[in-house]
Amino acid sequence: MAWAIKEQVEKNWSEPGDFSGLSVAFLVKVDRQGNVLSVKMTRSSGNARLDESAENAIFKASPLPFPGEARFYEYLKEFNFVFKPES
Amino acid sequence: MTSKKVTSIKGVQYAFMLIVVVAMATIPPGTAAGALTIEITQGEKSGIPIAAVPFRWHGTGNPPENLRGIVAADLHRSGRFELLPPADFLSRPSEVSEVRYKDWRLIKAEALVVGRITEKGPDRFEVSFQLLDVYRERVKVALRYTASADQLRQVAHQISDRIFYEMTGIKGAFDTRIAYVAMNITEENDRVYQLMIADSDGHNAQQILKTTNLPVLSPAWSPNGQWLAYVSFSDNRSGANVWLQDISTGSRRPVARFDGSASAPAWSPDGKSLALTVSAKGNTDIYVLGVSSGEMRRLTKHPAIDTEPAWSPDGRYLVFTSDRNGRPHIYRVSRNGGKAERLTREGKENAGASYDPIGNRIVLVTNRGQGAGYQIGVFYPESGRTDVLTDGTLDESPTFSPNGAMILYATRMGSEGVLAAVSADGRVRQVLKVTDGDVREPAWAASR
Repeated sequence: MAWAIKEQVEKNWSEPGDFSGLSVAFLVKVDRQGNVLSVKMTRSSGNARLDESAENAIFKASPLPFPGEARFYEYLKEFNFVFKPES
Repeated sequence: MTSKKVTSIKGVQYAFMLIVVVAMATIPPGTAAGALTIEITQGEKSGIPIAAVPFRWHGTGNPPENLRGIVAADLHRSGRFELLPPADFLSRPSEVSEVRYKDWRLIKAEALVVGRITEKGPDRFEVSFQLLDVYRERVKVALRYTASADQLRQVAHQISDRIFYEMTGIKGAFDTRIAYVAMNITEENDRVYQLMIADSDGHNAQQILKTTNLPVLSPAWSPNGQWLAYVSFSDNRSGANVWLQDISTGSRRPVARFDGSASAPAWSPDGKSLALTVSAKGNTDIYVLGVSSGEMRRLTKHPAIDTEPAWSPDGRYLVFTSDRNGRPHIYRVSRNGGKAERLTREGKENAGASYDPIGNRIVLVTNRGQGAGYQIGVFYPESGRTDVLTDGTLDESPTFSPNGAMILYATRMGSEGVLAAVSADGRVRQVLKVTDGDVREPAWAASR
């Protein structure tokens, strides 16, 4: 389901330009239904347009596709997104 | 376009475990230790979803211009935005105090444009607009303009420029001008040529020259937007010559006297020189003319046809079309002359090349062979690759927008020539609303 989450966020990410070579990281907290509760930028790319568009993508992708089984929640309640655009 | 897909469904659990292991083994700097890391490498290329609310009208009768319509058309044409349909809007705010951001997150808009037009007096209008960040709930830009009715289209283009810059980091090029040639056949079977200038969307067209049965060709803007150089004829007997016309006064003169004919003018980036094609004594080569000195310097010397020169943005090189190896292809030569280097090798023919404002890309007309006809392509000199952007059979005269984000070109619709714009990635193509006959040879000015 990591792939499903990845796909859902990529589908919601509208790259505002070519930012290949830069990367931005977020720590994301979600509830058991996959709803995004908080997004904290842990490392900026140095470009506000890339940072904001990536953060938008996470919000727009909410709720994230989550498995029903409770045992996965421990792994998934908090995780990192790294946006690393390729040209 | 889409993300890389996993083909095996059964492998999902395994992939998940693997990712957790990998993530724990190599924790990128700036991420929380111990947590799963998902790497996003590719977004959608569909454009930034943006909602533009119709501007609220405070005045009598109907609003003098549809500002929202002009802005939306500009942003759409650029290929960088996905305009959300107004039918989906849950509310119609006209300023930030009326905005419920949640309404716009529900339709997944990332940015919101609101505004109003207020009648302040006879032919005096105040336009206010705000660009809002839907997810961070803040104002990105708030501006106010005062204008007469016939300035409102320009105000709308300036609003588009501001939004484009805020969202992409690239200077907008909507508030710019284009030039083109329109041809009409009269009832007496005369061919009337008009040299026109218009806004970048084809509106507000204005005639600056009219000739009968003497073609007008190849308009080229001076870098400061004051002059147009173009090819015309004094009468039926003499050859083509290059003329200079002052846009504001309308005064014009031939750039020089030639034994043969001169065509295809291209301004140097500093505006001091014009590269030209000169045909004399059965040979066609590239020359450089000092605009004020009138001094001519021959750049190429080859028995084949060398034509269609264009300067690199740093002014050090010129590209041109030559058939010296059989079919027409693009060559590059130093501004000081010397040996020309062949650039294009793909395709059957390439012609009509010019640089983007940075100098990384060259736009051209390409013929891929096998009866494919002529399309607009973007050629990357570093890799030698060409991306074909259009699908016509007679597309020609491509010209980059001053910000390099769009390309204007001439194409055919039925038997008529029309102008069309394509985003530099080829994703969005649109025919411009220009309705003065058979239209061709567009040129995009570097400044207003």
